[in-house]
Amino acid sequence: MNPEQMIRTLHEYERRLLQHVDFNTSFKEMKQCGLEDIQIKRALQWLGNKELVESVRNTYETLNLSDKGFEYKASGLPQTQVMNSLTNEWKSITSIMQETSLSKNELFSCIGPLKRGYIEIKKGEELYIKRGPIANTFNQSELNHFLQKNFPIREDEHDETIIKTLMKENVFVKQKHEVITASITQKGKVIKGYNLNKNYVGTLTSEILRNTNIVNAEFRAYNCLDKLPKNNRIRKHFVTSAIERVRQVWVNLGFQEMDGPIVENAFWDMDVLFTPQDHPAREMQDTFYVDEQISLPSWKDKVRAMHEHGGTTKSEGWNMKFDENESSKCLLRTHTTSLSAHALHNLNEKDLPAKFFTIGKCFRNEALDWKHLFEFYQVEGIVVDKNLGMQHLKWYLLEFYKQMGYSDVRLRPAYFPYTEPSVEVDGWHKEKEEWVELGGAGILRKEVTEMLCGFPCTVLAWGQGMARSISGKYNITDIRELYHNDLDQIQSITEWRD
Amino acid sequence: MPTVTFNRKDVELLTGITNEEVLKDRISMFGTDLEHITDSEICIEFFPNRPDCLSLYNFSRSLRNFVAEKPVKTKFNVEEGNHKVIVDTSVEQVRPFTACAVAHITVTQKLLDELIQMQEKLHISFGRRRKKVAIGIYPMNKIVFPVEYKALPPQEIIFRPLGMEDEHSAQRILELHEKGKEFAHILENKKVYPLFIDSKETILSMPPIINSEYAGKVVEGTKSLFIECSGTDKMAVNKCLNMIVSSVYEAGAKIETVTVSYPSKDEITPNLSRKRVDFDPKQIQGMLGVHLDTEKINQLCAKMDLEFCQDHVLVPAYRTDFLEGRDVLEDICIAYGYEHITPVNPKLSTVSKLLPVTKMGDRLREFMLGFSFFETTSYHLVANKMLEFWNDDSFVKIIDSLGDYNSVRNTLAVCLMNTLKHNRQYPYPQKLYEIGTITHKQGLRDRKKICFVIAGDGSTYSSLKQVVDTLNHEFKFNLSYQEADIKQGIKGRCVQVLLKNIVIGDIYEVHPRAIKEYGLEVPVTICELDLQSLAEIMYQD
Repeated sequence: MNPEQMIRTLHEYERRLLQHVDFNTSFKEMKQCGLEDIQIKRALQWLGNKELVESVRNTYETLNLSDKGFEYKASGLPQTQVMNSLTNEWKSITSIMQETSLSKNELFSCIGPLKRGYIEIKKGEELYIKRGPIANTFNQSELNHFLQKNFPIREDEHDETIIKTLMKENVFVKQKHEVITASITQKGKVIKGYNLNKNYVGTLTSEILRNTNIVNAEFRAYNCLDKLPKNNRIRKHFVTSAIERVRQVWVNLGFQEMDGPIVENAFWDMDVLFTPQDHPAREMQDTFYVDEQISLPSWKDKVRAMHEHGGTTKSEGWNMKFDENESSKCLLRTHTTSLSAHALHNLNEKDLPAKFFTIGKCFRNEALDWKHLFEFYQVEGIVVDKNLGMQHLKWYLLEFYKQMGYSDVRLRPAYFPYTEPSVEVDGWHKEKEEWVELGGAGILRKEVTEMLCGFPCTVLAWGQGMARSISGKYNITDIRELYHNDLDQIQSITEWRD
Repeated sequence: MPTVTFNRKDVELLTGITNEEVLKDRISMFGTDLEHITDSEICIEFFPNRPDCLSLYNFSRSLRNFVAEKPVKTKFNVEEGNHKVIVDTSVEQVRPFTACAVAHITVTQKLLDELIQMQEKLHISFGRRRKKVAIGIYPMNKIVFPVEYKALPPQEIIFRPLGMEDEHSAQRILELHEKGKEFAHILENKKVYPLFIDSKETILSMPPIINSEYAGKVVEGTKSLFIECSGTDKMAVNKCLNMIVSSVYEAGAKIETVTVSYPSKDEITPNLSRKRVDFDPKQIQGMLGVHLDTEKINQLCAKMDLEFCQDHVLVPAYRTDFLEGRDVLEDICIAYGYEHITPVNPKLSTVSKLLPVTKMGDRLREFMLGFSFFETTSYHLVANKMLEFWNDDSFVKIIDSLGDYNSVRNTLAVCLMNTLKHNRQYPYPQKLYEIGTITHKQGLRDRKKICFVIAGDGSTYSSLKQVVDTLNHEFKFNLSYQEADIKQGIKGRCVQVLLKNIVIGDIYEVHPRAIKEYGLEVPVTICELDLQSLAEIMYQD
């Protein structure tokens, strides 16, 4: 940066101060620039950052008299006061206290060291004291004299033992001092050779704009690369952003959105998906049942037949009596596959091919902890046409997960009651160096499509819970934080990166 | 889905696979979920379609064939035995069916552990916690055949259950014994309890609860086993027996049949013959995208221990998951390898379409951000007392919730009040909005709503009313307002918002009693609108 450019970046404080800095310039000399102490210190730091000035901060301690110190300066140290008040007659503690300005504590702490012959003690109703055999040798004049010095003083400039002795009498307070000196650098000297009193416009204001001829003015340049304090914006919730992000993937692939109720009966949530009525997931501890009733549709017998013996298909069915009470039980949908069931039921053969998706809340009866939520978003899509196979499912899965940001994906066999073949999709986790489960997929069983569509078709289906991928993308370890609604957290979370 | 831990050395020995990477990969690609693998053990979660694999021997045989160049077809040589189990009509009202077998094998500690693990895991999964099927295994030398399977009134049953010091009545066993307490509910309200009793009147067991100490305790060194499965589903008890028998057979046992004598007819169990499942091999090409010749199909079937015969396959007796031809296709896909399927774009031309509420939600988010409202998002489930306090008790309640979240919200207002409560440490004013679904109890209808609040000094009715006015103006909704009383609003500072003369929302200053209920000390104004109604106006098709 050439000197003139450099000068343009200087703040007014810096320009003023720089003119008063030479070699080992004291703070006092710097103050001649006319700035406040705090302004000088800031300017020194800025100039230091720009390597125009080098400043040195030295700290040292001084001793000043404490309140006690000032007291003793006037009336002598406690022992001196006591000795001065004693005679060869017994004198009570009370009267000594009255004569001197000492407190009881101060008095008693004198007695110990004086007992070694300077005083004698007698116990009666109270303590009595008189001058002892070597009272004449008592001498604290040097110490008392020291207190008369001109304080504050530098500790290292005076007699160590005297200071140590006086310290014990609590006569001093220590004070910290800072000595700032500054020297101009080579670079600074060059700058100083230029005119530093040129007028630059600082923060542009409407007043300046209105009242001055500013068109040809010179502007101070800012230090544009300096770090600034954090400032947050008003924004959407990050779960919403994630949903929008995922929704965009479905839209890209030509899927239309499905709709369906949160409160379902087991018929739509499980039976039409060929989940056997004694399946463990249907038990109370896994599913939220609600205190309501939804009646079964007129075509329920088709579902009954499928469960009991495979209905009109070649399937054996579950070989189990179908219980309508079980089927009418009301629950909070346990997966979004119930929405796919409605979509398939409403679909006409002439509308093929068809693709549907949803991103919806599902519910499981789980206690809330760092990795379990009782409600979570699930994303799910189906592709319906004649004659689709695993090769097509694989294409959609790879494409979907690529768009979701997973480039290394594998499919492996799995099991769901309503798909056959069934697929688990794994993504390669680069940091953990292992496969992690992304979601489930498969081709709907013939039993299911027969119950729901009634016309021959193949249905590719896949989906996944979103909580884990959202927390992964946002570096959230405790899954409950997705719904903390802490304003600071919502503001400061970083955006989803692929 | 049950998780099973096998000794790694055993699996290596039985399958011949010792390389860890190969083990990991093959177990995963076989359709079983590898949990973890260490130097000494392999932990696998099995999907419910393969309960047979809950046994070390069944699993190892299947995996061995899956990886083998030349798989060996399973064939069970079962000898005809002369033991008989007589089924009494009395069991019809409790657990009507049983299937039995005899296995000759010297029980080692390893086999004993394996039998216990398999039995326990089958009970949980395939047996539906013993409700559908329960398994009993006994030392043959304590039993004098024929055995009778019958049911007696509980007061007539007394025996010493496995693991207890003394004899007890059936009632006491259900109360005292660990397994009794765990499974008593299965026999609840039954007038009679089922028993296996031998010809000397010795009680073998009281299924599905517990064996007897005398006749039901298999130990190291036991030479022959009597195995029975009993339950409510005839097909299931037979399948369960087949899984156990094929496992001990693989371990080296000699199997003998047992005659199960029902009142109507005798049946010989186990029946380990293969089951025929019809299947059209032409479907393979549609499913995999490639044509496979007969030799290749034969080879793939063999990997899964299936026998391919033109228009059907013969499925081994230990498999329980073949309902129709598609199940055969899946096994062929697994044998082919999901990793070898070439992805093909079916090139289906369709037009994407979003729901009106989704589109409206997007536009309202942008609108709210323009007024500097923050988005929050809450659970659908809330505590019922919150809803009762805010509105009335017309909401959907959960029957057996594990936590405080025991009701489905019928308003978003309580969610935002809750959010305000949790953000008391931050500066005011706070302007928040939430878009979400609520559920009306009546008709169990879901509605998409938008709710927004301003909390802090200066939060007044008019500050929110202005927002709604702007919304109305920009989107030309033609909304109108009428004064109304709202339960938690300040009287005289509440309106209802109408669209085509139907109430679709409200705006109100929250009453101090409600503000204090939420531990707040600032004025709060709320507006909640039915987003769905707005969407219907915006996107009339």
